[in-house]
Amino acid sequence: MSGIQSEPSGALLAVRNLVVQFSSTRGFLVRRHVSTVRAVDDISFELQQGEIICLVGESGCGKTTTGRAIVALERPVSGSIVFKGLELVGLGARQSHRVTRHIQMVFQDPYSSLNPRMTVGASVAEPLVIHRVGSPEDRRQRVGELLDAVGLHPESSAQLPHQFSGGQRQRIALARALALNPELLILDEPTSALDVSIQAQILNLLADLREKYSLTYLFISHDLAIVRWLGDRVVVMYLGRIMEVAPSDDLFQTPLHPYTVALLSALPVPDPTVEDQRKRIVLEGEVPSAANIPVGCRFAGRCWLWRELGSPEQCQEMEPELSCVAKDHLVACHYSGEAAVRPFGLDPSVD
Amino acid sequence: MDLTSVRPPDLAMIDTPYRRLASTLGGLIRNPLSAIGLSLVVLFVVIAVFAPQVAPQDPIALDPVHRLLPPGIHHLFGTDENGRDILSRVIVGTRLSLLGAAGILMIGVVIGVPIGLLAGYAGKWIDEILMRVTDIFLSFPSLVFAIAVAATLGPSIRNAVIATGVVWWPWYARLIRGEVLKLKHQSFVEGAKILGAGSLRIMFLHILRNSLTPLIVQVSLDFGYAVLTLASLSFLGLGAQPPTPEWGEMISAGQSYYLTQWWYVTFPGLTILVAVMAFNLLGDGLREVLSLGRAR
Repeated sequence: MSGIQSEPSGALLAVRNLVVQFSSTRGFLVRRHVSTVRAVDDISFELQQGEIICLVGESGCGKTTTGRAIVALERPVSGSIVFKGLELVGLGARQSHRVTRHIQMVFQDPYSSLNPRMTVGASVAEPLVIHRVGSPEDRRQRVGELLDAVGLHPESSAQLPHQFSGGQRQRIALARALALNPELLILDEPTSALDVSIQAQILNLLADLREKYSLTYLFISHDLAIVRWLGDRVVVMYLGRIMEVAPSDDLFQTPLHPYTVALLSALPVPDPTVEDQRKRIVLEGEVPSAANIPVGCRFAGRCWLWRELGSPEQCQEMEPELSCVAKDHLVACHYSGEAAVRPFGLDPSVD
Repeated sequence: MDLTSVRPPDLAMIDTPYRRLASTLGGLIRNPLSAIGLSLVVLFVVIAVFAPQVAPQDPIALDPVHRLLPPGIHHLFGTDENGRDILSRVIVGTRLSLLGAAGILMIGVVIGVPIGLLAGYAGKWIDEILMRVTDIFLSFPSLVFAIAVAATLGPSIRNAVIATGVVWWPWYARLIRGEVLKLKHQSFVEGAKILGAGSLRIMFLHILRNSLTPLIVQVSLDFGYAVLTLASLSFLGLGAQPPTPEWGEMISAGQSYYLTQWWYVTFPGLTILVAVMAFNLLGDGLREVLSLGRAR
């Protein structure tokens, strides 16, 4: 394959300095610029073959946009996305097709992710038809295998999507995404529209499928319980930026960014005595608009640690870089050390 | 318990595209109004297809001896000033009216649907340009435009159909564009893009296929108006020319007799009324049945 070769890093997917922004313009012929929203603002991370990386953050933090940029549904303003050594940003449509068959996406809403007029079989076979894989007979057989792999009966292929429940539709969407034997699946909150019991089934299925097909997942979620259970590594985003990257266990035991600490403090603890004493950090105020990002640390205005430390000026003047503070643990905070010694926002000296 | 397996589908409950069509027809028949509409439309179509066989008498041959007879056993709808059987003329005129209306709608759909699809899907300046052109066509009063066409190309049913079709398409372009805008950010369309589907595949297989319901409803509702428009043009002398039997042309010829020979204009007029009503009832029924099916 031709294309711009980047330095070999061994990563399956490397996102570097990715910026995605949305401009709104108005007017016919002469377009006036109205505003620019930086949905993703200079983020970098890597995915190793076979790992599950979770992208977490509040709504509007840019996690979904990041996923969409990787599958070329959004056009980045700058930065690079390298998949197996091949630069994806700026690829022509033709070449991009050849690559994108290795990267597939499963969407959040199972009710809009299947064409309501296409039978399940036709939906699952469509990737094969588009890429001209196999004869019609081969395809029928492959559809049967795929439906079986996601726990559906092959007879379902004659039915239309409206006859299936949300969980079943998400299985169909998975079968469709798996049809071309992709290496990377981008899962955009695949369970958030489902009942808790169905969520568990789908998560188990995802774990099984990863084993079976040696897949790599980029799992986008706001549900920390799922992230803890599923993820190998976690990327915490806030307002288009990465705040913290750490292996899942590290992150949940020793969060180093005050934002992560606040997020984790919202997680209920199964032990009732601990749960009773647990202090929650309630973040004040609203997330600032991505059209008007504050100078300095973008989290400072809502940061409990910043207030506790007496509002140091540094936070409002300089944007903290994402830097390595422990093994595989990256944090973007000037006072990450302080967050660690004040677990869950409590100053030990006060108690 | 194995949580990842799902019980087999109940075969009787399986919904396939074929069963959908059957259930649509079933829904139409269950509602009395749309059942009337559907049966009248079927009746009109049958009459149109078998017009020469169904018509009791020659619709064109002159018979001055029996001119302007009131309705009776031999002439159910009476006769006109040339002694021709009005019932036979109405029956034979059905074919022309339905074919003409179908032609108008076909021109409208063939021009309007691709323009609406392209405008909605491509967006940006292509959308702007196409929709401004659409607005220009929309601002023509269709009758006035048809008069202008008839004036330049000469009055004939074919020219009337073309003239009407050419001002009819903007409605379909707008309808389809609206549907495209609604559908193009749905996950299944974006999913197809990720799979590498081409624009044509996405536009026709994913978007148009899901816009067919409102289009079918609109076309069936418009069919009645197309019949009416064509009759109006013929009435004004811009469509079918005598002695061709056509509903509007018959009313036009009967104008001078309507005070004394009421049946001359009444029966062609009633036929137009019933035809327009039948298509409207069918369209309304379709809308109800199809939107119900959608909400499931």
